[in-house]
Amino acid sequence: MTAQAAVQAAINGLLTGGLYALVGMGLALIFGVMRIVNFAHGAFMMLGMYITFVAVGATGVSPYLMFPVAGLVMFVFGALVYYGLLSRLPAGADFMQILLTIGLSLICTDAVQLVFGADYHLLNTGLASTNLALGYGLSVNAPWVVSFAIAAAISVGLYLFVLRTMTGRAARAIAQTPAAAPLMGINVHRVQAISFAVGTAAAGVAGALLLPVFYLYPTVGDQFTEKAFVMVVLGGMGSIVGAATAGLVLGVVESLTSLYWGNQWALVVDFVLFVLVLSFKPGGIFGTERA
Amino acid sequence: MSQPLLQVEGVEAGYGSLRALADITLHVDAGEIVTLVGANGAGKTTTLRVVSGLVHPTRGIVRFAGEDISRLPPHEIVERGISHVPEGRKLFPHMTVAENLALGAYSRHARARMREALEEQLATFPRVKERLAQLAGTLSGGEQQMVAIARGLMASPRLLLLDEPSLGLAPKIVEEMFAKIAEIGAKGTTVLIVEQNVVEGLSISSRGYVIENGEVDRTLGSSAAELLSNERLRSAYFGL
Repeated sequence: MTAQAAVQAAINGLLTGGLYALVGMGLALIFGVMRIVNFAHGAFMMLGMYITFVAVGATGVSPYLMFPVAGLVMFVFGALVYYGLLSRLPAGADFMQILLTIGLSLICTDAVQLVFGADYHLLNTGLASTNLALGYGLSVNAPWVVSFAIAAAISVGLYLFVLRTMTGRAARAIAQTPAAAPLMGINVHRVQAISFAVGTAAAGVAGALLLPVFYLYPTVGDQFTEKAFVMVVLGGMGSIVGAATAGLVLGVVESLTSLYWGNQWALVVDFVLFVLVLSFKPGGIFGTERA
Repeated sequence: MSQPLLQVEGVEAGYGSLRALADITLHVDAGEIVTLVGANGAGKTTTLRVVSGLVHPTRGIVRFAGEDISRLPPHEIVERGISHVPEGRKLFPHMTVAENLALGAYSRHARARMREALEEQLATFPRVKERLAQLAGTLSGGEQQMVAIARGLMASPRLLLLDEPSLGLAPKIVEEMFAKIAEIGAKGTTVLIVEQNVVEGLSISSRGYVIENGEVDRTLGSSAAELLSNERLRSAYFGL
């Protein structure tokens, strides 16, 4: 195996990692910051993929222009899930949140399977066979580059939302000292609903951006739920930047693992990393609690 | 006679089946500092929680500037001009002091004058100014209490509720704290305090109420000077 192949694998991994990062940041907001244990995060991403698939099929517009549609629909969906289901659970009922979101994930997956069937789909954007040469025999696949660029821009937006806006601050305040938040004039349910919806929209957009480069099938989200939890823990609970960094690292590690040991080892390495960090550095390896 | 700023009338309230307040009637006029005195578990903190909307009364009424606020959620009560600094400070520990203060001005009316409010607070609490970039959880107890009061004032309230502002502080800091509270009152903010340090609390107050078993003791007058010189109170609460 040449060094060139390793560099190429790392570049590809970084591009995948950009999309992982967006999925992970969404969960870092919902689970890391808000402390809502959401096992439906991957299913929300999957819904974003199908929404984009249908929207592209109906309009013929490029999926790269359709990601705001997926984001908007999933934002509304997230707000409904929060107000309709999650806000009705008693505060701190982690176990009920787990059951509820696992149930929700199964309902989403099965509903999609009922409507669209279990077949695999692949969306051809016409860009798929376009490769951009980087020199030294290295190249990048065009759709990955476009998805990565959009994901990076949205990640910056998400970061600014959590750290710089009053709503993002309020969401962190609620998580840190729930007893004091309403005394600041914070409408707790409203802020939680918006933040949950933003995290859900991030998953939906990630799904839209993944569509041109990934197979589409009803259970595609499951592995992303797992990976998103790995990213939040690796990044340090509550750290948006940490989760994004962990997403990039995960992408590269998976890609190199596939190259040297074979594809089947990629997920194994993810979870070995996860278990090691949980055991030896439970605070995460990147970032701090704060940001 | 003009109407009081805050009027609590015959309030009963509790948590589940536990009745914490049986019959609370009191008022606070604009510009006053008033202290609630009483044993642990008498219902002082719950009285503040009813005023700020964290607990809704099962009977009775709370009026603020004439308006019935008994059924409003806390965030709308903040919007109307009541700011509650809770017992034990309850800062946001992983955020900077500056962020804590900004959150104090979260409500709509406060956000509009956030900059002026911040300048006012930093002038009142110069020590807070030195700590703006520090995480709130890393401050000393006295500094945390200063930040908690400053954060409460960032809401530009007409009525400030202070729950045990001297809790767990060294005597010298306690003295400083009460001087600050008197200064805040002199600048025109109306203050309602719950305080274990009865003498210090009443000394800066114009009036006080003694709460026992969820009721205001009606046998006592409410003038702070009278309460301070009352023999029965002196032996029961002041340890004098």
